[in-house]
Amino acid sequence: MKWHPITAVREWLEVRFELEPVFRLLRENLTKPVPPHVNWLFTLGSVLAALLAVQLFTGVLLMISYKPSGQEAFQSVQHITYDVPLGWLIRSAHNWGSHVIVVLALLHLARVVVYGGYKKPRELTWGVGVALLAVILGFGFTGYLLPWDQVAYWGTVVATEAPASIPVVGPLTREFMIGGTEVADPTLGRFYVVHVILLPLALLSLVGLHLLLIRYHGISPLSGTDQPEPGSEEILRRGGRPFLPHHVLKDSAAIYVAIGALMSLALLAPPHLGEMADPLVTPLGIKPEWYFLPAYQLLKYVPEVVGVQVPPLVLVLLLLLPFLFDRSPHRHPRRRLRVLGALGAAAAVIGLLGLLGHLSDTRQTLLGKTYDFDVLGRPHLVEAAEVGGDPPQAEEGRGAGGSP
Amino acid sequence: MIGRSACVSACAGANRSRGRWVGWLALLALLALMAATGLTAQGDGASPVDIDEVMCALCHFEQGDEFVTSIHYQKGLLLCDDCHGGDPFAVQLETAKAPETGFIGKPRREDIAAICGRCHTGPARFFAQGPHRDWENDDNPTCITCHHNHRVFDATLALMEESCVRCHVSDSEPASGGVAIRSRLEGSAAHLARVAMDLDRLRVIDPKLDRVVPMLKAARSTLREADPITHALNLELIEETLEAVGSELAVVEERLVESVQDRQRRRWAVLGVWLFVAVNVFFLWAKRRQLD
Repeated sequence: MKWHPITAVREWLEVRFELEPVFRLLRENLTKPVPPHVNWLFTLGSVLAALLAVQLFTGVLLMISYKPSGQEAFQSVQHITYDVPLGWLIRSAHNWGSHVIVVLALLHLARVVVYGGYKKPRELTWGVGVALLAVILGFGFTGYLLPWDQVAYWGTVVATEAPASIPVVGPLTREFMIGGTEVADPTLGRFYVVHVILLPLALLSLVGLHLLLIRYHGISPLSGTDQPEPGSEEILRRGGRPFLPHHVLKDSAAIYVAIGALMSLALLAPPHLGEMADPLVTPLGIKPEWYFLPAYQLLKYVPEVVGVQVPPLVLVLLLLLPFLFDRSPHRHPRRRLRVLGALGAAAAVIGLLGLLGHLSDTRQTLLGKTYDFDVLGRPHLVEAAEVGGDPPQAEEGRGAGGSP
Repeated sequence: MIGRSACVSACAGANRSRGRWVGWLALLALLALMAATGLTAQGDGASPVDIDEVMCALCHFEQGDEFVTSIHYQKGLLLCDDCHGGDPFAVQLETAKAPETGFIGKPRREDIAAICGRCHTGPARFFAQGPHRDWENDDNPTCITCHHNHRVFDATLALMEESCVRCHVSDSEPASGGVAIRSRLEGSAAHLARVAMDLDRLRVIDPKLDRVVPMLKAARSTLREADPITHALNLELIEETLEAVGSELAVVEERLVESVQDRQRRRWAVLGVWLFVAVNVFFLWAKRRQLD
């Protein structure tokens, strides 16, 4: 028989450990067929997992040179960007990766919602997925501060002020979160530890559990929960294909394309580093990352004490989706139009809030007319004579150019 | 229980009312602080004093009208007393022009350079080295000949050309010298503006250029150093400074060229990435076809 390294290692292990049952279990689960309705949208989860691995890899590389202290953080990021060979590319890939992952996570979530993938018996898989979304947003929130530039510092000041408005526990929560009364060195230390230790541990555990549950239950069929789920042979007879190798090949192709897109973004549009954080100088137009804009804008319309509780409430409602809001046995999207319509409307409201958050306090030209958007996102037409003047608040961000 | 709750609510009412007073007092204190800051900031180039409050302008209204258009007034830098002495806010003539206020009235011709030189030390120093250094002599200009006495505008290069031909024939040697200095300075300023524009454009896609910004700032301040030297009306003296600007800009331009080349390399890298992706996806697709 021809010698093969994998077979050799396997034989070596088998002589020493009772591994056959493990291999059998793995084989059985990995070759479980996927139903015929599984299309390219079902590769989003694998792409997400691959990009999370890229984030871990680039994150570890960044940790080599990053120094998590108020005195050194900014300089160390400058060092990574300007001096470390390919440091700019690693930082750029990590930065872009954080955005792409949120986009993919939301698309993956939308796909599961449309195909009713959260229904019995996969409620726990769904719950773990929602927890993973919270972890991903937590990565974004804590990672935002780490460059320790003006945008990072003041963005975090704004974001950490909101929880203080919760009655009784609010001020204490904020103090615990930032390690004092102001965002300072202890905040950076805390956010760093959460970003590089606690959240990665949570992520790895949850991703492991998520994958285990997915393989255990297999891909959700389109039939109702009141009917028995088709077995492997039935799926194969209806035109399904084994997960390994058929669907894995599809996943791999999608992963290649996603990594290609990520590398293109990282190469062509690397992120800027602003001025070093200065607690005494508040820059204009500070806004959070795009995925926190809906929550940021909501706080302008409703009392802070209410607004601050809405984002966690949305996550809880998502968790409860299969138990409270979509309890019918149907999985097929055409038979769940009412639920999908309601969820679509909720997503549209969140998207609209995000758009208003993006437009607020800026000047924009739409269809040849210039508008000043006020703090609530309401447009005010600017007369032609005033167009040359300053907008209500100049937008400053890491991407803003302009030589002094 | 009722009495106790009434007491609690009365106390809460009293507290609220006290809280309101504290709020109003805090607001008043804030307004007072803002007003005080505004007043103290006047001398530091902040908002100018209302010209109607300046008593001198009541009689010297023509000078007052000219002064309000000046950069000295608009930036809140000077008032009448800074050059003429006296007290511009005194209502009584005797008090306004009292000797103890340092009132000098119209400065003598020979004192003008010293008065301007109190703030504009650089220009005064270089003016004293130039061909017009004997300003006591009526044939030579003083600061106000070119810059005006009350209607002082922000100095521009155009002022140089306008001023030279007031006394010199336009194709004479001194006037041509002025034109040469002006065009040399304009050339450097245009060069700097061009480089700044290129830097702005390229910085959007290359954050490494953020580090070049201080270099451009340095070149800009070196160019600013040439401003006072122009008062010596000596091209050779200015040349030295402008050459320094040129070499500082050359370093910036070198970095810009590197950035353009780097951008091209990155484009090739993106192409390489997609070729790699295409080849691998093709093989995966072929394998999948084979399996089907």
